[in-house]
Parts: sequence; structure tokens; C-alpha cells
Amino acid sequence: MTFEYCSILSFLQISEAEWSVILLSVKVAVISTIISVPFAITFGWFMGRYRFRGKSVFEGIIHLPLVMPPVATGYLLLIVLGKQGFIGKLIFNWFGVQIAFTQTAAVIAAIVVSFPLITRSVRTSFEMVDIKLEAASRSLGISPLKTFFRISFPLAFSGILSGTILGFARCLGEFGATITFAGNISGKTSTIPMAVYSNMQIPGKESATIRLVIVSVIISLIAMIIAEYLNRKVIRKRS
Amino acid sequence: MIISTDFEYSTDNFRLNSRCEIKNRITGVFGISGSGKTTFLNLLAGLQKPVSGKIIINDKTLVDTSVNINIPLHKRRIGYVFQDTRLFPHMNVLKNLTYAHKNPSLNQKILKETIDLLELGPYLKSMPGNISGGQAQRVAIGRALLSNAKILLLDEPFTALDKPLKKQVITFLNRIIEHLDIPIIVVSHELNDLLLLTQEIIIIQDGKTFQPKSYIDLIREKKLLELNGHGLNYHNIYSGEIIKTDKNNGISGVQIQNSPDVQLIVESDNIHLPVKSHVKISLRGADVSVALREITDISIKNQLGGTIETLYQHRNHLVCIVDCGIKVITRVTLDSGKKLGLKTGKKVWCLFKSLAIETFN
Repeated sequence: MTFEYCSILSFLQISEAEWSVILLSVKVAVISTIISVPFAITFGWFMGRYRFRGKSVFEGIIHLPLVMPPVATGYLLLIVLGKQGFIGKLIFNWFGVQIAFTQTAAVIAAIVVSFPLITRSVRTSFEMVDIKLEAASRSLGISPLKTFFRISFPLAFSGILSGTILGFARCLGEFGATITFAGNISGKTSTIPMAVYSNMQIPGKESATIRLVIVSVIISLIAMIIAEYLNRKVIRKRS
Repeated sequence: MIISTDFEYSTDNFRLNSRCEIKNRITGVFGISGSGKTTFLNLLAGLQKPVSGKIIINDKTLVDTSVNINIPLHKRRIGYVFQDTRLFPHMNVLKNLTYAHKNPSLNQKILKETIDLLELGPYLKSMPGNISGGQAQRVAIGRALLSNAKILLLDEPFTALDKPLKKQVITFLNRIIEHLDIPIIVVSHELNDLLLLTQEIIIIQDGKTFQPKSYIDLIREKKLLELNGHGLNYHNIYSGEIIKTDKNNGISGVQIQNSPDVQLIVESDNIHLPVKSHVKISLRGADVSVALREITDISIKNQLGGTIETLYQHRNHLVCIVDCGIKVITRVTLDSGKKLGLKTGKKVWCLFKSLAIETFN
């Protein structure tokens, strides 16, 4: 499979090791995005629709990774979920599972840094859905849950999509938190940004660095084009 | 169906007390802007909750704050047609109509009937942004009807519509009233629009809703005087049937319903309907003159003799109801009243031009 891709992008002359880095990056980004999005939708909708005491503080905590240095975020994750961390220790003792410095850690780090980004976009798009339309739906005998799936979600879809793509791109480019919490273990946790960083340190690896940068640009562009296409499709459908 | 309300609703700067019983098939709710008409509908529908009290529809308690009952909005089966229509922008007209149509395969006949009734056939594939305000109102009404609602609430269905569209919506609403056996409550700040749909009116004034009364009773009991200060113009509304059309002279004769002796002459251009069609007639009270005898050498075609049954002064004019087989409401200046010696029981003639009559089908 890897070699088939290689033949498609043979002009880049990507090595097998580089392919494994690319595939790992995409895998981590896809898994993180898939896990983040449903939570971000729930959370974004909740924050966009309800007011409660301490909402700003709660929101501030969720959005912290957006403004904190990613390395600090990674360090906090290590404190909490590392083998000696107060939750990580329990997990290790109970299940014998280590989280830090694994692919799971890379996924968790990506989720933590991308979640607020997706949530912000989702929340804004839900806030833009006229609450009166939801009331109109319920007045027609449709339950709040069905109203969410038939009115709120489709109307907020383009915002959710943008948030998802942004989140995916953020996961793909995540460096600081990942290197701190998951490490830069070749073939295990080394994603594109980390491989680029490592290659930059080694003389003669410039072409490998450029190849990885080009691939990340291509992946990001494809994601943005797909998002734009779907967004336009939604807008066209409405007019 | 009986809708019974006995509740109190209040916010920081607004209060509404309602104690009334609605038994009519179609009831109008009238009050000036900001009086709480929409709040009243919202409370019935479940969009807002009273501070205390009860709302009961046909022995089913929707709200009873004393025992903490508050049936949620989606379980009340009340079709609410909002002032701003609130069509779902991501669905075409057909999808909006069938949005709450529970079992499409079984109810295709009802769907077709509703589409035909509201003449929405040509727009089914159109998106809400591409249809006119009148068409959007009709879609909103159709959507509410197809939701299997037991009651229909219409909030200011004529606002933001120009006169021809308003006429169109009134026509469709009258059609619904004629065809469907469903109680309807219509809110409007334009009494005359309401009267084209119903003569049974609930007034909302000074934070209170009053028991529904007929329009004539409201005038008799001087209930509209305060609202009159807000530019209210008394209208006469009658239902009738076209019995003849004289195209050469451009006039038509309308037989007034339940008043076999009363026929009115209206301008034909105003109607465009064949003989035997049902029409509603609107005549401004200010367009009715009062004379002490029938006048023959005059162009005015409608001259009805009758007896003054109600007469009272309001500011600088007299409000007068004349029983001519139909009740004719008119207003005359104090000066004219004195010159003619108007008083209750006096025989007078009500004169109004055929051109002053507006017709609705």
C-alpha cells in the first residue's frame, strides 16, 4: 500500500520511513479529530445555548490550550497522565497501561490542543442559528433532540465543518505538546512536525525536510479544498 | 373545544393577567403594540411559562403551577404560525410543509389537500428565500396545519404584508376556517384585519385579557374607546353572497348573510368574482353618512333605513350603531349629531357609496 502511494507521488521520492511518518501524522490527526468533533459539537452547542454560573471560568479552562505554550500543555498532560502522574499512575497500576510516550499520548495531545479550536468554531456557528427556528420546530411537535439533528445541526454544519478542518490541521501540525507528552520516537510517535524538526538538526537531510513540508502543505490544502467544496454545496443547496 | 386561562405572567417591566374562556372556533386577540398579545400566544403554546395559574384546553391541563405541571412545547399539539413565519431556510417549501407531517405515506391525501387549499403547488421546490412574504405565510400556515395540531395560533399574520398580499392571506385563512374544523386564535394590532376573519374578539389592555366578546358588543360597551385613541377606525364587516352583476354599469349586488332584506351594491371592479360567490365586505364607519330620510337625487347607491340602537359621545364625535337589518356602525361629528337631533331609537338612513365598500373573497 505504502509503495502504491509512493508511485503516485514518486516525483517527490519519498522514502519508506518518511511515508510511515506521514501516515502516522494522518492517523493521529484523523483519530484525534474523530474523537474531538462529537464532544466539541456537544460542548459548543451547550455553551452556545445555555447560561450558567461560572460559565466564563469553565470556558476559560477549556480554551487554555489555545493560549498556553504547547510545551506547557504537554508538561501538564505528563503530570496528569504520565506514569507517575496522578491519573496515569492509577491507570498503570490498574490496567498496566502506559499512556505517555505512546501513540495514544500523541492522540491525546492532539485532542487537547485542537478541541478548543473546534469548539470555538462550533459554538459560534450554533450561536448563529436562530433560536426561534428551534422553537418553531418544537412548536410543531418535534422533540428537542430531533430538533437538534434536523434544524440546529444542519444550519450550523458549515461552521462545524470549518472547525473540524481547522482542528484536523491543528492536529497535523501539533508539535510542542506532542513532543513533551508523547516524545519523538521514530516509527512510534514521530509525526511530520517532529520529523521535520529532527531532520533540520541533521546536515544533509534538507531534501527530506522539504519533502515532508511539501506533503504537509498538500494534505492541508486538500483538507481546505474539501471543506470549501462542502461548504459551498451547503450554501448552494439553501439558495 | 374550550380553552381556559387563569394565570399571571410577569417580568421586570411587564405584567399580564389572563382570565378567560375561549369557546369559539375562531377568536381574535386585539390590543395595541406591546400590550402582550404575542406573550399571550407564547404562554398558550408553551414558549413562555406563567408565574402562577393554569392553562387548560379541553380538560387537559397544559400548565398548573400549583402542582408543577408544565407540558413542554412539543407535546402540546398547538400549531403556531409566527409573525416572521420562521420557515426553515435549509429546506424547500415541500420539506417545510412535511417537516412535522408524522406519517407521510398515510397522509398524502391531507398533504395534497393542504397544498391545494393554500395554492402552494407551483412553489414546492422553491427555497424559503425565493418566495414572497404572502407565500411564506401560506407555507407557515400549511406547515402548522400538517403538524396534526389541535389548535392553530396565528401571530400577526398580516404584518409586513402589503395590501394585495394581505388580501390574499385573508382569503386563504377564510378558506381554512371554512374547510377545517380546528379552533384558531389570531393576534393582530389591526382590528379591521381581525374582523375579516372573526367577530369574536379578546381585548388585551393594561396587562389584562378580557373575556371574548362580539365586536358589536365591544362597541356597545365602550370597550374600544381607549384603543380608539390609537388610530382605531371602526369598520363594518359583513359576509354575503354575490347575487347579480351588472357589467355594463360596473356594479354588483351582494346579499348579506342572515339578513334577507339587506342587499348592498358594490363596485364590480372591486370583486372579479362570479355570481353566488361568497364575499366579505368591509366598510369604514367614517364612510357612512347619516340622513333623516332616503335621498333619491344623489349618486350614493346604498341607503339603508334603520333605528339608532346605540349612541354615545367619544371626544368630539358620536359613535352610533344603527340597526338596519344589519348593524351599521358610524361616526358623526357632535355638530352633525345636534343638527340631526340624533338619539337612541330615532329612525335614520345610513348612506354609503358602493366605491367605499371593499370586498374580500
